[in-house]
Amino acid sequence: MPSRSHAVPGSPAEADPGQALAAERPFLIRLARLQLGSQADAEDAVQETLIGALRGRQDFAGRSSLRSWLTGILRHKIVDLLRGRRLQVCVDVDDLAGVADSGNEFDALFTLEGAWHPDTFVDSMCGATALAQRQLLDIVELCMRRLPEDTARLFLMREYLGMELKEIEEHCMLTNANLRVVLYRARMRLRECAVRSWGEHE
Amino acid sequence: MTEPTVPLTCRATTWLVSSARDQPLTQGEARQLAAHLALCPACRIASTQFKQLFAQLDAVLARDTAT
Repeated sequence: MPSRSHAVPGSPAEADPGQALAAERPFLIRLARLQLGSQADAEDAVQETLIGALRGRQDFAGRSSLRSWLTGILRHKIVDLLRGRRLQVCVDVDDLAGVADSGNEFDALFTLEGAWHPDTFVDSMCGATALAQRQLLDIVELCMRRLPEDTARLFLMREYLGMELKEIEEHCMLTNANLRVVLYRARMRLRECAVRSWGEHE
Repeated sequence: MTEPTVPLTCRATTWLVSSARDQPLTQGEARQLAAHLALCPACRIASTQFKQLFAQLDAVLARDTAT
């Protein structure tokens, strides 16, 4: 489980802002590399984010976690870079060829009639766990890291960058049907991964 | 096209719950979804799980804070 530092003003991490910022770097790099497709571009974008954050840290003022503040700043940088690039190949077309008939990925979850299968349905709720909010967020992050890279890239364009479906379709030269299936599969996988973790802590 | 009166399967319900995160459901879809949820305890649980997951995603990805 990755360590998470939610520095709040007055906490020990706040005593050394540079160190607190550096602790968030790996998370930010992963997000940026997925979207920008290059380690060097990701490092540049994250570096600019961290420098900007250090300069403007009086604006932070503990109104959110340090990570989410940085994550928000980085989002703007990535969106600007992507829009500047126009079209790009976001996914391996060969991988997507199987998307349309990949419905059987979740067959084990459902009966032949399409009802939840009683043997595989996990009914745990996160509210029923003894986990703190921070640990719940770590679970989501870990589950996201298990998504295939192409899936994660498209998923995060929607969920992180907040791009509309049409914009992603045009940017990545994808059909609406393919994109919606990719997003559906990502969410189904995330749910399955998260509820199993919740279930372990009930 | 989906007939508004056709009952949904649980599987189709998960598709609508996912879709609703990207674009508003049509009136017919929303009716179908509500009708299914009213009768299906498992889908009520799954739908709540998705809601919890989406809220946590928003927090991890800083979609819940104005920056």
